[in-house]
Amino acid sequence: MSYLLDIVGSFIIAGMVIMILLAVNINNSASSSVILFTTIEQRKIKDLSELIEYDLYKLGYRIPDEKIAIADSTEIKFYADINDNDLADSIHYYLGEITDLSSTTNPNDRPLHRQRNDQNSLHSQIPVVDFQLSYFDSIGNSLDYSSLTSSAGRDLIKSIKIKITVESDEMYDEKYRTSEWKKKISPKNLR
Amino acid sequence: MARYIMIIVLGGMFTFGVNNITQNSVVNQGTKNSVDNYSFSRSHDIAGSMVDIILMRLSNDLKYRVNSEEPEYLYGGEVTYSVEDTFFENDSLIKITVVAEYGDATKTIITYADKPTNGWVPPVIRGAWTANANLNNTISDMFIDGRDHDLNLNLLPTTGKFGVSTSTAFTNVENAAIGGTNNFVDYPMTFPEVAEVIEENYNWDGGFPESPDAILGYPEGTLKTAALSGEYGSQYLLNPPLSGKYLVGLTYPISGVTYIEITNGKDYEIELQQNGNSGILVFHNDDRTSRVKGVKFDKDNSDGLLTGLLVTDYSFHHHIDILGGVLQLSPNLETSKSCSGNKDHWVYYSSESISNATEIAAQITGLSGNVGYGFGKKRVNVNYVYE
Repeated sequence: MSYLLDIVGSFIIAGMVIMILLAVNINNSASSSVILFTTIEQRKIKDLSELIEYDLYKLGYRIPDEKIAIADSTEIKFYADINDNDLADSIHYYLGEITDLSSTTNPNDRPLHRQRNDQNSLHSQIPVVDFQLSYFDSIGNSLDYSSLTSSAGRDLIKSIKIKITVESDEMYDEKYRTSEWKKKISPKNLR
Repeated sequence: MARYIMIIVLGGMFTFGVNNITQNSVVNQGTKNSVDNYSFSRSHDIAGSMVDIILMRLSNDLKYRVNSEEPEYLYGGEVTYSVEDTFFENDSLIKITVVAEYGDATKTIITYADKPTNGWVPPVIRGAWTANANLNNTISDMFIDGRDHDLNLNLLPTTGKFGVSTSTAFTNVENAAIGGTNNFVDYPMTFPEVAEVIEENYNWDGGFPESPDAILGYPEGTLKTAALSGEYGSQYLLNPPLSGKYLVGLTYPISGVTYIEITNGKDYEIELQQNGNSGILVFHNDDRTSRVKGVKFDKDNSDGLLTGLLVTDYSFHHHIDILGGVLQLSPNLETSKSCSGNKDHWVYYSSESISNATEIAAQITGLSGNVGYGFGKKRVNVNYVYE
Protein backbone atom coordinates (compact mmCIF):
# COMPACT_ATOMS: atom_id res chain seq x y z
CA MET A 1 0.00 0.00 0.00
CA SER A 2 2.75 2.37 0.98
CA TYR A 3 4.49 1.46 -2.25
CA LEU A 4 1.43 2.55 -4.22
CA LEU A 5 1.23 5.82 -2.26
CA ASP A 6 4.89 6.49 -3.04
CA ILE A 7 4.24 6.04 -6.74
CA VAL A 8 1.13 8.24 -6.74
CA GLY A 9 2.90 10.89 -4.65
CA SER A 10 5.89 10.82 -6.96
CA PHE A 11 3.63 11.26 -9.98
CA ILE A 12 1.89 14.23 -8.41
CA ILE A 13 5.16 15.90 -7.40
CA ALA A 14 6.79 15.14 -10.73
CA GLY A 15 3.73 16.49 -12.52
CA MET A 16 3.89 19.70 -10.50
CA VAL A 17 7.61 20.10 -11.19
CA ILE A 18 7.02 19.54 -14.89
CA MET A 19 4.14 22.03 -14.94
CA ILE A 20 6.24 24.63 -13.11
CA LEU A 21 9.12 24.10 -15.51
CA LEU A 22 6.79 24.39 -18.49
CA ALA A 23 5.22 27.59 -17.14
CA VAL A 24 8.62 29.10 -16.40
CA ASN A 25 9.87 28.18 -19.84
CA ILE A 26 6.79 29.58 -21.57
CA ASN A 27 7.02 32.85 -19.63
CA ASN A 28 10.73 33.02 -20.21
CA SER A 29 10.29 32.50 -23.94
CA ALA A 30 7.58 35.13 -24.08
CA SER A 31 9.62 37.75 -22.27
CA SER A 32 12.68 36.86 -24.35
CA SER A 33 10.70 37.52 -27.48
CA VAL A 34 9.37 40.82 -26.16
CA ILE A 35 12.86 41.94 -25.17
CA LEU A 36 14.22 40.80 -28.50
CA PHE A 37 11.63 42.76 -30.49
CA THR A 38 12.08 45.83 -28.29
CA THR A 39 15.84 45.65 -28.59
CA ILE A 40 15.60 45.41 -32.35
CA GLU A 41 13.42 48.54 -32.39
CA GLN A 42 15.83 50.29 -30.04
CA ARG A 43 18.68 49.45 -32.35
CA LYS A 44 16.75 50.74 -35.35
CA ILE A 45 15.92 54.02 -33.69
CA LYS A 46 19.45 54.42 -32.36
CA ASP A 47 20.92 54.02 -35.84
CA LEU A 48 18.30 56.34 -37.29
CA SER A 49 18.86 58.99 -34.62
CA GLU A 50 22.61 58.90 -35.22
CA LEU A 51 22.03 59.42 -38.93
CA ILE A 52 19.66 62.32 -38.38
CA GLU A 53 21.97 63.93 -35.84
CA TYR A 54 24.90 63.50 -38.20
CA ASP A 55 23.00 65.37 -40.91
CA LEU A 56 21.23 68.01 -38.88
CA TYR A 57 24.23 69.18 -36.88
CA LYS A 58 25.87 70.05 -40.19
CA LEU A 59 22.89 72.02 -41.47
CA GLY A 60 24.13 75.19 -43.13
CA TYR A 61 27.81 74.32 -42.95
CA ARG A 62 29.63 76.36 -45.61
CA ILE A 63 26.34 77.49 -47.12
CA PRO A 64 26.36 81.26 -47.52
CA ASP A 65 22.82 81.71 -48.73
CA GLU A 66 19.57 79.85 -48.17
CA LYS A 67 20.21 77.01 -45.74
CA ILE A 68 16.75 75.47 -45.46
CA ALA A 69 14.65 74.97 -48.57
CA ILE A 70 11.65 73.13 -47.07
CA ALA A 71 10.51 73.10 -43.45
CA ASP A 72 7.27 71.33 -42.74
CA SER A 73 5.83 69.03 -40.10
CA THR A 74 6.98 65.83 -41.78
CA GLU A 75 9.51 67.11 -44.25
CA ILE A 76 12.74 69.06 -44.24
CA LYS A 77 15.17 69.85 -47.00
CA PHE A 78 18.37 71.66 -46.19
CA TYR A 79 21.82 72.37 -47.51
CA ALA A 80 25.19 71.59 -45.98
CA ASP A 81 28.65 70.57 -47.03
CA ILE A 82 28.12 67.15 -45.49
CA ASN A 83 31.50 65.72 -46.45
CA ASP A 84 33.48 68.91 -45.85
CA ASN A 85 34.72 68.76 -49.42
CA ASP A 86 33.76 72.30 -50.47
CA LEU A 87 30.67 71.02 -52.30
CA ALA A 88 27.21 71.92 -51.12
CA ASP A 89 24.89 68.95 -50.61
CA SER A 90 21.15 68.90 -50.21
CA ILE A 91 19.57 66.54 -47.72
CA HIS A 92 15.88 65.84 -47.97
CA TYR A 93 13.94 63.95 -45.31
CA TYR A 94 10.29 63.31 -45.95
CA LEU A 95 7.65 60.91 -44.75
CA GLY A 96 6.08 58.58 -47.29
CA GLU A 97 2.61 57.08 -47.36
CA ILE A 98 1.47 53.99 -45.45
CA THR A 99 0.72 52.33 -48.75
CA ASP A 100 4.35 52.78 -49.77
CA LEU A 101 5.37 50.12 -47.27
CA SER A 102 3.33 46.99 -47.85
CA SER A 103 6.07 44.46 -47.25
CA THR A 104 5.42 44.36 -43.50
CA THR A 105 2.31 43.30 -41.63
CA ASN A 106 2.36 46.48 -39.56
CA PRO A 107 -0.46 48.64 -40.92
CA ASN A 108 0.98 51.84 -39.39
CA ASP A 109 4.52 51.91 -40.70
CA ARG A 110 5.60 54.04 -43.61
CA PRO A 111 8.93 54.92 -45.14
CA LEU A 112 11.00 57.84 -43.95
CA HIS A 113 12.90 58.91 -47.05
CA ARG A 114 16.36 60.40 -46.99
CA GLN A 115 17.54 61.69 -50.30
CA ARG A 116 20.88 63.33 -50.88
CA ASN A 117 21.42 65.80 -53.70
CA ASP A 118 18.08 64.77 -55.23
CA GLN A 119 19.74 61.65 -56.59
CA ASN A 120 17.92 58.34 -56.64
CA SER A 121 21.21 56.52 -56.14
CA LEU A 122 21.63 58.37 -52.85
CA HIS A 123 18.13 57.64 -51.67
CA SER A 124 17.36 55.48 -48.67
CA GLN A 125 14.21 54.74 -46.75
CA ILE A 126 13.69 53.66 -43.18
CA PRO A 127 10.41 52.26 -41.82
CA VAL A 128 8.87 54.44 -39.12
CA VAL A 129 5.36 55.00 -37.86
CA ASP A 130 5.83 58.67 -37.00
CA PHE A 131 8.23 61.46 -37.95
CA GLN A 132 7.42 64.90 -36.64
CA LEU A 133 9.41 68.09 -36.96
CA SER A 134 8.86 71.37 -35.17
CA TYR A 135 10.88 74.55 -35.49
CA PHE A 136 11.94 77.26 -33.07
CA ASP A 137 13.44 80.74 -33.37
CA SER A 138 16.43 82.12 -31.47
CA ILE A 139 14.51 82.68 -28.25
CA GLY A 140 12.79 79.33 -28.37
CA ASN A 141 9.40 80.39 -29.71
CA SER A 142 7.71 77.74 -31.79
CA LEU A 143 7.36 78.78 -35.42
CA ASP A 144 4.10 78.19 -37.18
CA TYR A 145 4.39 75.96 -40.24
CA SER A 146 2.50 78.50 -42.33
CA SER A 147 5.25 81.05 -41.66
CA LEU A 148 7.90 78.69 -42.99
CA THR A 149 6.74 78.72 -46.56
CA SER A 150 8.84 81.81 -47.26
CA SER A 151 12.60 82.01 -47.23
CA ALA A 152 12.46 84.89 -44.73
CA GLY A 153 10.35 82.74 -42.40
CA ARG A 154 12.76 79.83 -42.62
CA ASP A 155 15.66 82.16 -41.86
CA LEU A 156 14.21 82.48 -38.36
CA ILE A 157 14.72 78.79 -37.64
CA LYS A 158 17.46 78.26 -35.07
CA SER A 159 16.41 74.95 -33.51
CA ILE A 160 14.61 71.87 -34.77
CA LYS A 161 12.79 69.34 -32.63
CA ILE A 162 12.51 65.84 -34.00
CA LYS A 163 10.24 63.08 -32.83
CA ILE A 164 10.47 59.62 -34.33
CA THR A 165 8.51 56.52 -33.47
CA VAL A 166 9.28 53.09 -34.84
CA GLU A 167 7.35 49.84 -34.43
CA SER A 168 8.24 46.26 -35.10
CA ASP A 169 7.45 44.96 -38.57
CA GLU A 170 5.55 42.01 -37.18
CA MET A 171 3.08 41.68 -34.35
CA TYR A 172 3.96 39.70 -31.25
CA ASP A 173 1.45 38.88 -28.57
CA GLU A 174 -1.06 41.02 -30.45
CA LYS A 175 1.12 44.08 -30.09
CA TYR A 176 3.69 45.92 -32.18
CA ARG A 177 6.76 46.79 -30.14
CA THR A 178 7.44 50.54 -30.07
CA SER A 179 10.46 52.78 -29.59
CA GLU A 180 10.43 56.56 -29.58
CA TRP A 181 13.18 59.19 -29.88
CA LYS A 182 12.91 62.93 -29.35
CA LYS A 183 15.60 65.56 -29.56
CA LYS A 184 15.90 69.31 -30.07
CA ILE A 185 18.90 70.15 -32.20
CA SER A 186 20.36 73.63 -32.61
CA PRO A 187 22.66 73.53 -35.64
CA LYS A 188 25.47 75.98 -34.93
CA ASN A 189 25.67 77.12 -38.52
CA LEU A 190 22.14 78.53 -38.26
CA ARG A 191 23.10 81.88 -36.83
CA MET B 1 9.28 5.82 -14.91
CA ALA B 2 11.55 7.86 -12.70
CA ARG B 3 14.04 7.87 -15.54
CA TYR B 4 11.49 9.49 -17.85
CA ILE B 5 10.58 12.09 -15.28
CA MET B 6 14.26 12.86 -14.81
CA ILE B 7 14.64 13.30 -18.56
CA ILE B 8 11.67 15.69 -18.68
CA VAL B 9 12.92 17.67 -15.70
CA LEU B 10 16.48 17.86 -17.02
CA GLY B 11 15.18 18.76 -20.49
CA GLY B 12 13.04 21.49 -18.98
CA MET B 13 15.99 22.82 -17.04
CA PHE B 14 18.14 22.73 -20.16
CA THR B 15 15.49 24.64 -22.13
CA PHE B 16 15.25 27.13 -19.26
CA GLY B 17 19.02 27.55 -19.30
CA VAL B 18 19.15 28.11 -23.05
CA ASN B 19 16.29 30.61 -22.79
CA ASN B 20 18.08 32.41 -20.00
CA ILE B 21 21.30 32.66 -21.93
CA THR B 22 19.45 33.98 -24.99
CA GLN B 23 17.53 36.44 -22.89
CA ASN B 24 20.72 37.63 -21.21
CA SER B 25 22.31 38.13 -24.57
CA VAL B 26 19.37 40.16 -25.80
CA VAL B 27 19.26 42.20 -22.60
CA ASN B 28 22.98 42.81 -22.95
CA GLN B 29 22.42 44.03 -26.49
CA GLY B 30 19.66 46.32 -25.26
CA THR B 31 21.93 47.65 -22.54
CA LYS B 32 24.69 48.13 -25.10
CA ASN B 33 22.29 50.12 -27.28
CA SER B 34 21.55 52.39 -24.36
CA VAL B 35 25.19 52.70 -23.38
CA ASP B 36 26.18 53.40 -26.98
CA ASN B 37 23.50 56.05 -27.29
CA TYR B 38 24.55 57.63 -24.00
CA SER B 39 28.23 57.55 -25.00
CA PHE B 40 27.38 59.08 -28.37
CA SER B 41 25.52 61.96 -26.74
CA ARG B 42 28.13 62.34 -24.04
CA SER B 43 31.04 62.50 -26.47
CA HIS B 44 29.15 65.13 -28.45
CA ASP B 45 28.52 67.17 -25.31
CA ILE B 46 32.14 66.87 -24.22
CA ALA B 47 33.42 67.94 -27.64
CA GLY B 48 31.02 70.90 -27.69
CA SER B 49 32.03 71.94 -24.19
CA MET B 50 35.70 71.77 -25.09
CA VAL B 51 35.09 74.01 -28.10
CA ASP B 52 33.38 76.53 -25.81
CA ILE B 53 36.26 76.34 -23.35
CA ILE B 54 38.77 76.97 -26.13
CA LEU B 55 36.74 79.92 -27.43
CA MET B 56 36.85 81.40 -23.94
CA ARG B 57 40.60 80.82 -23.74
CA LEU B 58 40.94 82.61 -27.07
CA SER B 59 38.87 85.51 -25.77
CA ASN B 60 41.13 85.84 -22.77
CA ASP B 61 44.35 85.47 -24.69
CA LEU B 62 44.27 86.48 -28.33
CA LYS B 63 47.58 84.77 -28.94
CA TYR B 64 46.39 81.40 -27.60
CA ARG B 65 47.29 78.64 -30.08
CA VAL B 66 47.90 74.89 -29.71
CA ASN B 67 49.60 73.78 -32.89
CA SER B 68 50.17 70.15 -31.89
CA GLU B 69 47.38 68.07 -30.41
CA GLU B 70 46.99 68.32 -26.66
CA PRO B 71 45.07 65.80 -24.54
CA GLU B 72 42.80 66.83 -21.70
CA TYR B 73 40.33 65.01 -19.46
CA LEU B 74 36.92 66.56 -19.35
CA TYR B 75 33.66 65.40 -17.76
CA GLY B 76 34.73 61.76 -17.60
CA GLY B 77 35.92 61.64 -21.18
CA GLU B 78 39.13 62.44 -22.96
CA VAL B 79 39.58 65.15 -25.54
CA THR B 80 42.43 66.01 -27.83
CA TYR B 81 42.43 69.43 -29.40
CA SER B 82 44.41 71.83 -31.50
CA VAL B 83 44.04 75.55 -32.16
CA GLU B 84 45.73 76.77 -35.32
CA ASP B 85 45.75 79.68 -37.70
CA THR B 86 44.37 78.69 -41.07
CA PHE B 87 43.05 80.05 -44.33
CA PHE B 88 39.53 78.86 -45.02
CA GLU B 89 36.78 80.08 -47.32
CA ASN B 90 38.99 82.96 -48.48
CA ASP B 91 39.44 84.17 -44.94
CA SER B 92 42.18 84.06 -42.38
CA LEU B 93 40.63 82.20 -39.45
CA ILE B 94 41.43 80.11 -36.40
CA LYS B 95 40.72 76.39 -36.75
CA ILE B 96 39.77 74.58 -33.56
CA THR B 97 39.77 70.80 -33.84
CA VAL B 98 38.37 68.82 -30.93
CA VAL B 99 38.12 65.03 -30.76
CA ALA B 100 36.22 63.72 -27.74
CA GLU B 101 36.10 60.11 -26.62
CA TYR B 102 33.66 58.70 -24.15
CA GLY B 103 33.32 54.96 -23.81
CA ASP B 104 33.45 53.57 -27.33
CA ALA B 105 32.09 56.73 -28.91
CA THR B 106 34.21 59.37 -30.62
CA LYS B 107 33.02 62.78 -31.73
CA THR B 108 34.97 65.31 -33.74
CA ILE B 109 34.02 68.98 -34.01
CA ILE B 110 35.90 71.39 -36.23
CA THR B 111 35.21 75.06 -35.60
CA TYR B 112 36.43 78.02 -37.60
CA ALA B 113 36.49 81.29 -35.69
CA ASP B 114 37.45 84.82 -36.57
CA LYS B 115 40.76 85.98 -35.28
CA PRO B 116 39.92 88.01 -32.22
CA THR B 117 42.05 90.85 -33.51
CA ASN B 118 39.48 91.49 -36.20
CA GLY B 119 37.86 94.84 -35.79
CA TRP B 120 34.45 95.48 -34.33
CA VAL B 121 31.98 98.26 -33.79
CA PRO B 122 31.79 99.04 -30.08
CA PRO B 123 28.18 98.65 -28.95
CA VAL B 124 28.21 102.09 -27.33
CA ILE B 125 28.29 103.59 -30.81
CA ARG B 126 24.56 103.85 -31.29
CA GLY B 127 24.56 106.48 -34.00
CA ALA B 128 26.70 108.25 -36.54
CA TRP B 129 26.99 110.76 -33.72
CA THR B 130 26.66 109.50 -30.14
CA ALA B 131 26.72 111.50 -26.93
CA ASN B 132 25.49 111.43 -23.38
CA ALA B 133 24.57 115.11 -23.57
CA ASN B 134 22.67 117.69 -25.54
CA LEU B 135 23.72 117.63 -29.20
CA ASN B 136 21.37 120.31 -30.54
CA ASN B 137 24.08 122.87 -31.23
CA THR B 138 27.04 120.56 -31.71
CA ILE B 139 25.86 118.83 -34.85
CA SER B 140 25.33 122.20 -36.52
CA ASP B 141 23.97 121.99 -40.05
CA MET B 142 26.06 119.06 -41.26
CA PHE B 143 24.94 116.06 -43.24
CA ILE B 144 24.69 113.19 -40.77
CA ASP B 145 23.87 109.72 -41.98
CA GLY B 146 23.58 106.71 -39.69
CA ARG B 147 23.09 104.36 -42.60
CA ASP B 148 26.02 102.01 -43.02
CA HIS B 149 28.60 102.83 -45.67
CA ASP B 150 31.58 100.98 -47.02
CA LEU B 151 34.91 102.69 -47.53
CA ASN B 152 33.81 103.83 -50.99
CA LEU B 153 30.73 105.53 -49.55
CA ASN B 154 28.42 102.85 -50.96
CA LEU B 155 25.39 102.20 -48.80
CA LEU B 156 25.17 98.88 -46.99
CA PRO B 157 21.48 98.28 -46.47
CA THR B 158 19.84 97.66 -43.05
CA THR B 159 23.05 97.45 -41.01
CA GLY B 160 23.28 101.07 -39.98
CA LYS B 161 22.64 103.00 -36.76
CA PHE B 162 20.71 106.05 -35.71
CA GLY B 163 21.79 109.32 -37.22
CA VAL B 164 22.01 110.91 -33.77
CA SER B 165 21.89 109.15 -30.42
CA THR B 166 21.69 111.31 -27.32
CA SER B 167 20.61 110.90 -23.73
CA THR B 168 18.73 114.21 -23.78
CA ALA B 169 15.91 115.60 -25.86
CA PHE B 170 17.00 116.57 -29.35
CA THR B 171 16.01 119.44 -31.59
CA ASN B 172 17.58 119.95 -34.95
CA VAL B 173 18.11 123.68 -34.44
CA GLU B 174 20.45 124.32 -37.35
CA ASN B 175 18.64 122.39 -40.06
CA ALA B 176 21.05 119.49 -40.40
CA ALA B 177 20.07 116.80 -42.88
CA ILE B 178 19.94 113.56 -40.91
CA GLY B 179 19.38 109.98 -42.03
CA GLY B 180 19.91 106.62 -40.45
CA THR B 181 18.74 103.09 -39.90
CA ASN B 182 16.15 101.99 -37.40
CA ASN B 183 14.94 98.43 -36.96
CA PHE B 184 16.63 97.37 -40.23
CA VAL B 185 14.92 100.14 -42.20
CA ASP B 186 17.10 102.75 -43.90
CA TYR B 187 16.02 106.38 -43.96
CA PRO B 188 17.85 108.78 -46.27
CA MET B 189 19.11 112.13 -45.04
CA THR B 190 16.39 114.75 -44.94
CA PHE B 191 15.55 117.98 -43.25
CA PRO B 192 13.37 117.87 -41.35
CA GLU B 193 14.54 114.44 -40.43
CA VAL B 194 12.18 111.55 -39.75
CA ALA B 195 11.81 110.67 -36.09
CA GLU B 196 13.11 107.15 -36.66
CA VAL B 197 16.69 108.32 -37.25
CA ILE B 198 16.99 110.11 -33.90
CA GLU B 199 17.46 108.35 -30.61
CA GLU B 200 16.78 110.89 -27.89
CA ASN B 201 16.48 110.57 -24.11
CA TYR B 202 18.32 107.29 -24.28
CA ASN B 203 18.81 105.96 -20.78
CA TRP B 204 22.38 104.74 -20.47
CA ASP B 205 21.67 103.77 -16.87
CA GLY B 206 25.26 104.53 -15.91
CA GLY B 207 26.65 102.58 -18.83
CA PHE B 208 27.91 105.47 -20.91
CA PRO B 209 31.69 105.30 -21.24
CA GLU B 210 33.70 107.93 -19.42
CA SER B 211 36.94 107.37 -21.29
CA PRO B 212 38.13 106.34 -24.75
CA ASP B 213 39.28 103.02 -23.27
CA ALA B 214 35.80 102.36 -21.93
CA ILE B 215 34.37 102.82 -25.42
CA LEU B 216 36.43 99.86 -26.59
CA GLY B 217 36.12 97.92 -23.34
CA TYR B 218 39.81 98.28 -22.60
CA PRO B 219 41.48 98.67 -19.24
CA GLU B 220 42.23 102.32 -18.52
CA GLY B 221 45.44 103.52 -20.09
CA THR B 222 45.47 100.95 -22.88
CA LEU B 223 44.80 103.34 -25.74
CA LYS B 224 47.37 105.81 -24.45
CA THR B 225 49.93 103.00 -24.33
CA ALA B 226 48.92 101.98 -27.85
CA ALA B 227 49.38 105.54 -29.04
CA LEU B 228 52.79 105.75 -27.34
CA SER B 229 53.87 102.53 -29.07
CA GLY B 230 53.98 104.29 -32.41
CA GLU B 231 52.70 101.16 -34.13
CA TYR B 232 50.67 101.67 -37.30
CA GLY B 233 51.58 105.37 -37.17
CA SER B 234 50.08 105.89 -33.71
CA GLN B 235 50.95 109.10 -31.91
CA TYR B 236 50.56 110.52 -28.42
CA LEU B 237 50.73 114.18 -27.45
CA LEU B 238 50.33 115.71 -24.01
CA ASN B 239 49.30 119.36 -23.99
CA PRO B 240 50.83 119.99 -27.41
CA PRO B 241 51.98 123.48 -28.27
CA LEU B 242 49.81 125.76 -30.34
CA SER B 243 50.70 127.57 -33.49
CA GLY B 244 48.09 130.21 -33.63
CA LYS B 245 44.95 128.37 -32.70
CA TYR B 246 46.03 125.00 -34.06
CA LEU B 247 47.90 122.32 -32.21
CA VAL B 248 51.27 121.30 -33.62
CA GLY B 249 53.36 118.20 -33.22
CA LEU B 250 51.36 115.60 -35.13
CA THR B 251 52.73 113.82 -38.16
CA TYR B 252 50.24 113.59 -41.00
CA PRO B 253 48.41 111.73 -42.23
CA ILE B 254 47.39 110.40 -38.86
CA SER B 255 46.72 106.67 -38.50
CA GLY B 256 46.43 103.96 -35.88
CA VAL B 257 45.65 105.51 -32.50
CA THR B 258 46.18 109.26 -32.25
CA TYR B 259 45.76 110.25 -28.62
CA ILE B 260 45.96 113.89 -27.60
CA GLU B 261 45.71 114.45 -23.86
CA ILE B 262 44.85 117.98 -22.80
CA THR B 263 45.24 118.80 -19.13
CA ASN B 264 46.28 122.47 -19.27
CA GLY B 265 42.80 123.88 -19.62
CA LYS B 266 43.52 125.46 -23.00
CA ASP B 267 41.15 125.40 -25.93
CA TYR B 268 42.58 123.62 -28.95
CA GLU B 269 41.86 123.34 -32.61
CA ILE B 270 43.20 120.78 -35.00
CA GLU B 271 43.82 121.27 -38.69
CA LEU B 272 44.23 118.02 -40.57
CA GLN B 273 46.99 117.98 -43.15
CA GLN B 274 47.35 115.74 -46.18
CA ASN B 275 45.01 113.02 -47.38
CA GLY B 276 44.46 109.58 -45.87
CA ASN B 277 43.85 110.53 -42.23
CA SER B 278 42.45 107.48 -40.45
CA GLY B 279 42.17 105.49 -37.25
CA ILE B 280 41.01 106.53 -33.80
CA LEU B 281 41.50 110.21 -33.07
CA VAL B 282 41.14 111.02 -29.36
CA PHE B 283 41.07 114.31 -27.48
CA HIS B 284 40.63 113.63 -23.79
CA ASN B 285 41.58 114.12 -20.19
CA ASP B 286 40.56 112.18 -17.12
CA ASP B 287 37.94 114.77 -16.10
CA ARG B 288 36.42 114.83 -19.59
CA THR B 289 36.99 118.59 -19.68
CA SER B 290 39.29 118.90 -22.67
CA ARG B 291 37.96 121.34 -25.25
CA VAL B 292 38.44 121.25 -28.98
CA LYS B 293 36.94 124.36 -30.46
CA GLY B 294 37.56 123.40 -34.04
CA VAL B 295 38.14 120.25 -36.03
CA LYS B 296 39.27 121.51 -39.41
CA PHE B 297 41.54 120.74 -42.33
CA ASP B 298 44.02 122.55 -44.51
CA LYS B 299 42.12 123.08 -47.74
CA ASP B 300 45.33 123.55 -49.66
CA ASN B 301 46.76 120.09 -49.07
CA SER B 302 44.11 117.88 -47.51
CA ASP B 303 40.81 116.36 -48.57
CA GLY B 304 39.52 116.88 -45.05
CA LEU B 305 38.42 113.29 -44.61
CA LEU B 306 38.94 111.30 -41.44
CA THR B 307 38.23 107.60 -41.88
CA GLY B 308 37.60 106.06 -38.48
CA LEU B 309 36.42 107.21 -35.13
CA LEU B 310 36.58 110.68 -33.62
CA VAL B 311 36.42 110.67 -29.80
CA THR B 312 36.37 113.95 -27.93
CA ASP B 313 35.27 115.24 -24.55
CA TYR B 314 33.92 118.53 -25.89
CA SER B 315 34.32 119.56 -29.49
CA PHE B 316 32.63 122.08 -31.71
CA HIS B 317 32.99 123.46 -35.22
CA HIS B 318 33.45 120.16 -37.00
CA HIS B 319 34.58 121.28 -40.42
CA ILE B 320 35.81 117.97 -41.78
CA ASP B 321 34.17 114.88 -43.25
CA ILE B 322 34.10 111.76 -41.13
CA LEU B 323 33.50 108.29 -42.48
CA GLY B 324 32.97 106.16 -39.38
CA GLY B 325 31.50 107.84 -36.36
CA VAL B 326 31.76 110.49 -33.66
CA LEU B 327 31.44 109.88 -29.95
CA GLN B 328 31.61 112.65 -27.38
CA LEU B 329 32.31 111.87 -23.74
CA SER B 330 31.57 115.10 -21.89
CA PRO B 331 28.17 115.55 -20.26
CA ASN B 332 28.45 119.28 -21.06
CA LEU B 333 28.49 119.92 -24.77
CA GLU B 334 27.84 123.21 -26.50
CA THR B 335 24.36 124.55 -25.79
CA SER B 336 24.56 128.23 -26.73
CA LYS B 337 26.84 128.86 -29.71
CA SER B 338 25.85 128.05 -33.24
CA CYS B 339 28.01 126.75 -36.02
CA SER B 340 26.23 127.49 -39.22
CA GLY B 341 28.16 127.40 -42.46
CA ASN B 342 29.05 123.75 -42.08
CA LYS B 343 26.67 122.54 -44.74
CA ASP B 344 29.50 121.26 -46.90
CA HIS B 345 30.65 118.57 -44.46
CA TRP B 346 29.30 115.27 -43.37
CA VAL B 347 29.51 112.42 -40.89
CA TYR B 348 28.59 109.05 -42.40
CA TYR B 349 28.43 105.98 -40.21
CA SER B 350 30.65 103.18 -41.51
CA SER B 351 30.99 99.89 -39.67
CA GLU B 352 33.84 98.96 -42.01
CA SER B 353 35.75 102.13 -41.22
CA ILE B 354 35.24 101.76 -37.46
CA SER B 355 36.15 98.07 -37.62
CA ASN B 356 39.36 98.93 -39.45
CA ALA B 357 40.21 101.42 -36.73
CA THR B 358 39.45 99.04 -33.86
CA GLU B 359 41.27 96.22 -35.61
CA ILE B 360 44.47 98.22 -35.50
CA ALA B 361 43.86 98.96 -31.84
CA ALA B 362 43.34 95.26 -31.23
CA GLN B 363 46.50 94.35 -33.08
CA ILE B 364 48.55 96.83 -31.10
CA THR B 365 47.06 95.97 -27.73
CA GLY B 366 46.21 92.30 -28.19
CA LEU B 367 42.76 93.06 -26.79
CA SER B 368 39.64 92.43 -28.77
CA GLY B 369 37.30 94.72 -26.91
CA ASN B 370 34.25 94.56 -24.77
CA VAL B 371 31.84 92.85 -27.10
CA GLY B 372 29.18 90.25 -26.44
CA TYR B 373 29.40 87.79 -23.58
CA GLY B 374 31.79 85.35 -22.01
CA PHE B 375 34.78 85.77 -19.75
CA GLY B 376 35.80 89.40 -19.85
CA LYS B 377 32.64 90.04 -21.87
CA LYS B 378 34.62 89.38 -24.99
CA ARG B 379 33.48 87.14 -27.73
CA VAL B 380 35.16 85.28 -30.52
CA ASN B 381 32.99 85.16 -33.58
CA VAL B 382 32.42 81.63 -34.87
CA ASN B 383 32.03 81.35 -38.64
CA TYR B 384 31.68 77.64 -39.39
CA VAL B 385 31.11 74.53 -37.30
CA TYR B 386 31.49 71.03 -38.66
CA GLU B 387 30.15 68.55 -36.15
